[in-house]
Amino acid sequence: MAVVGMAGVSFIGPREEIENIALALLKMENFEPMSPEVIMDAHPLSSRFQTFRGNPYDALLEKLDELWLKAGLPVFQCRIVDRVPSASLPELEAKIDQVTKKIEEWSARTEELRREYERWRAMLAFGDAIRETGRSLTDLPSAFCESVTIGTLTRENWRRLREASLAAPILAMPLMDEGRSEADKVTVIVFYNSDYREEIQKIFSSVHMYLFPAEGVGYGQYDKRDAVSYRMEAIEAERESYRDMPGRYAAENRFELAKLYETVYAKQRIFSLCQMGGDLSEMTVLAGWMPRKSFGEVRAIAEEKAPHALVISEDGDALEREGNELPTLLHNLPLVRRFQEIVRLYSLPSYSEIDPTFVVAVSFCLFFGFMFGDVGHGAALILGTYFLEKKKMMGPAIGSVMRIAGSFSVLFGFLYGSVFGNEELIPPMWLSPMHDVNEILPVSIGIGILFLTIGICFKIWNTVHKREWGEVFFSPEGVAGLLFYWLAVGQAAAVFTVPGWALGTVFFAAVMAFLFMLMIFGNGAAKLLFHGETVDEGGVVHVFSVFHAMLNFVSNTASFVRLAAFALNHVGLSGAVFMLGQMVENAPGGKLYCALILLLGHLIIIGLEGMIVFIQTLRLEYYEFFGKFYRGGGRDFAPVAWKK
Amino acid sequence: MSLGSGGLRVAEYAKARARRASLLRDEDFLLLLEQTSVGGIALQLGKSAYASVLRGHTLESMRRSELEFLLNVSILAEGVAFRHYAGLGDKKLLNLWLENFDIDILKEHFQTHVRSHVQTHIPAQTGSSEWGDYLDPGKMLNLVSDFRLTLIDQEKLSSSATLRDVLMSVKDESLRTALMEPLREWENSQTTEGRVFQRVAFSLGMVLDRHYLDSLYTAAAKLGGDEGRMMRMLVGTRVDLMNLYWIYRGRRFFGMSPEESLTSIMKARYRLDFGLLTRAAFADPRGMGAVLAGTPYERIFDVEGAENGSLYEVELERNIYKFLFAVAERVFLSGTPGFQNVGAYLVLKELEVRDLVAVVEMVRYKFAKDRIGLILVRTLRKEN
Repeated sequence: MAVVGMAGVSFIGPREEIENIALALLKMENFEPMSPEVIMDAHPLSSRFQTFRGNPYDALLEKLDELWLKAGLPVFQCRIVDRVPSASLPELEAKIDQVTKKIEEWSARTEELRREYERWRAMLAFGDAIRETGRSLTDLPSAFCESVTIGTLTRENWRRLREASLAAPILAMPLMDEGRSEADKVTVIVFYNSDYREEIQKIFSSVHMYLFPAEGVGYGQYDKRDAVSYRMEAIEAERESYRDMPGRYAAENRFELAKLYETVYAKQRIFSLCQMGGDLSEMTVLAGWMPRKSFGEVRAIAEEKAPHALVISEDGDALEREGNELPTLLHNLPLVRRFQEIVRLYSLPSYSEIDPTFVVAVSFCLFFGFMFGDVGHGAALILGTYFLEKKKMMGPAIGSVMRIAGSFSVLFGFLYGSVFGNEELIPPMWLSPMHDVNEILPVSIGIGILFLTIGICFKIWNTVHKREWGEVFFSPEGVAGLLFYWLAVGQAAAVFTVPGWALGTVFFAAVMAFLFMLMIFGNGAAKLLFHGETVDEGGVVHVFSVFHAMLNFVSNTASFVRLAAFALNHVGLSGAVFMLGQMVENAPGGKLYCALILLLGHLIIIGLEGMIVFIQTLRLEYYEFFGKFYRGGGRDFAPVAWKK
Repeated sequence: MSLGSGGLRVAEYAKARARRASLLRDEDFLLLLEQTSVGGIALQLGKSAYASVLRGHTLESMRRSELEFLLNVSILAEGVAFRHYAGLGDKKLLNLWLENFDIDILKEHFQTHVRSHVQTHIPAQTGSSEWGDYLDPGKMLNLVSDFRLTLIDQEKLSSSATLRDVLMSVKDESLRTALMEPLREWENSQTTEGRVFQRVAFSLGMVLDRHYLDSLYTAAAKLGGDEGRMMRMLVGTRVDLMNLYWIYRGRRFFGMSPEESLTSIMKARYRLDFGLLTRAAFADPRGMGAVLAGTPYERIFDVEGAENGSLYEVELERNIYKFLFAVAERVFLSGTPGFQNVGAYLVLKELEVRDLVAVVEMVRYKFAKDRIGLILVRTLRKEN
């Protein structure tokens, strides 16, 4: 239930051994590499440190992915290999080239056949058009054939050609226009004067028209419709067989190809990790962060797989104090882990900060249940969340938080004896917000005092960790501030509960005045006692900030009155819905209207009030609680993984 | 329009007006022209609204290309800053507007890949920017943290090894298909000839430019009311001018026939219909002004340096941008809240950066400063 302690780890050794370590790190998925610039920051040897540019295995893997796609194979899930594959880059390149060359040849032939097929199809359409005029293709004179071009181009370019044809001595007509989008192909026939041939070629080129081979000998061969159809079928059959070639090849060689893919994938992953390091005088350097507790395991692996490599570990806390920015990895119980998202929504804790997730989880449920305590509404919230999650309208992280919040709503519903705002159906196990206002108010204030105290304690913990002793003892969110707060709370409680207690009791007043002066002169005291600790704000600003902190104690505590206020509000709103329903119940068709009003009213309560309570809960967490101690700004721990 | 979106519109308008007030004044330009080095200009700009993009750089010794890159990034940063004020519809328009940065990045990748196939050095012709070395999405993302490429898959682009890979990083399928056609031409030719390179680079650039302006104009055409009218004017004017300029360029520099030049234009049309564009295409390139008589663009081809070949194009481009400047100013002064104000501001910013780049090059290459009026889009009041 904290930020996991990290260690800075460096591996230095021969390339092959560092690759073995890299493979182990990829398997463990708990190592985040550092960039070479950070590793060699201002080191005298940094000029001799060589980094790797580009991963040569990326291109190979892409080629294999393309092959997989063309072969229609499912995405290949590479299992983790036991050891670094021995195949060299040129060997792998040669193997893949051999495969891709075949695929390219088949693709080229398929494309060739597609064009051939399109040409025959266009000629079939052309022949049909001529036949409709009562003539045949054999009637066309050869001079005519020399002044006709048939080809395909995209719809967008067809529009361009058609426009140009208005200004040029040509006649362009569509033969086949089947698609809809701009990228779809249109087959066109263009008639022109033979004097214009040179010019028309330029236009064809500028509209990127694919020209079917010229038919200088005439169109007689396309005259017989059946023969053309037969030829088309033959082309299509051949095309079909070429199209299936990659799939057949992959099926026949699946073991070899799978092994090849696995090798390239492993090489790519290992290289991509080693790439984060660099070479120094024929030694490879790889450095990064990992959880402190995993270091022993890594050291053991390194001793076995990389006996000549040097493994250096440095304590993360010490590195952080030296000014390094360490990544944050949170470790919490499974149920609490879901509330990490609530903390993350504000900001991830920095490495040296306390992780407030556990307190957030407990308080979030408590606050939400307290303000929205209702068996019926809570259950409806849980069901609604399931529905929204199922419909993918709510993410799993927020969904699970809402479900837990709904469960607490149900729990508090039993404590309040409230079902859909009705407090008469079941007896309260604790108290009824509407009837026990005088009890629920002090409880909400009490929760606030406890919560703020935890916040200040967290701040003290953070500052102790950072060894900022002035802050620990003299700041309003330090020991002095906490004692002052508790004395003030004690005073206020005594005034209301102890008969005859005077607000200005001399002892309490003297101690509080002393603590207040301690906070005002805290900077000076810190300098005197802890030497060298300076505060950058000016004296006047500091005095005002202390006053501000004192006022915050009052406002933050008073803010928790909302817990009781929303609990009351919930009952009130539900009562209003029931009242509205009763008003129409006796009218004609009143039962139906009443049911509609109740349904709609409760939906609004669950949706709108539920949302407001959710926001109010977040507000108490983020403003009242986090405001006391939390800085955030942490960076997520991003370990390398086997899976890309 | 909901109350919320109305509020956003007003905020957007107010921001555009406030940003417009931060544009450089004539005095600032005159001060920049007095500088003797690129570093001097950078230092002066460091005291202006450009301070935010120049922060953290060594201004005194800044290179021309780096300064030009940062100036162009400032347009992007300004555009991205409007995202917080834009409603859903406006955000789409803004993303579409800012796609020209995606396009610049793509063009630079085209150039790099095509150049690597060519043995001899070939001067960049299409879409090449002198600040290309810096046109790395990563660098842009560092400088403008909210910037996201919308047209391109950044991951695919970064791992692209070939020109085909670059094109595969384009998310829009129809655009990708259109780009593949010139590529196929390139692949089939299997040549490293400069002429083929020029043709491919030119075609790829044209496909992107056409796609950008066509999509923007189509989106603008869907808007209603004053906003739609102003947006159509703002984008449509550019469409018309670019159509004319492409015809001119095709005819004059690429040896295109009138018919062929007509195949290079966009499908979007604002005030110039196909008939008029056809007449322009069939006219002598330098006599296109006569065809445009009676249209708002009749003075675009009124070029003083008509007798001097090298200056003709410079002045023609300046006239085009001056026209766009005037339209953007007019849109701004209309006073109606809406996205058109953001668009107009971004046009003004783009043209200011264009002027700044001209000043930087003038100072860097020690051109005669008395000719600045021929290049700058803005008319400096104190220049004489």
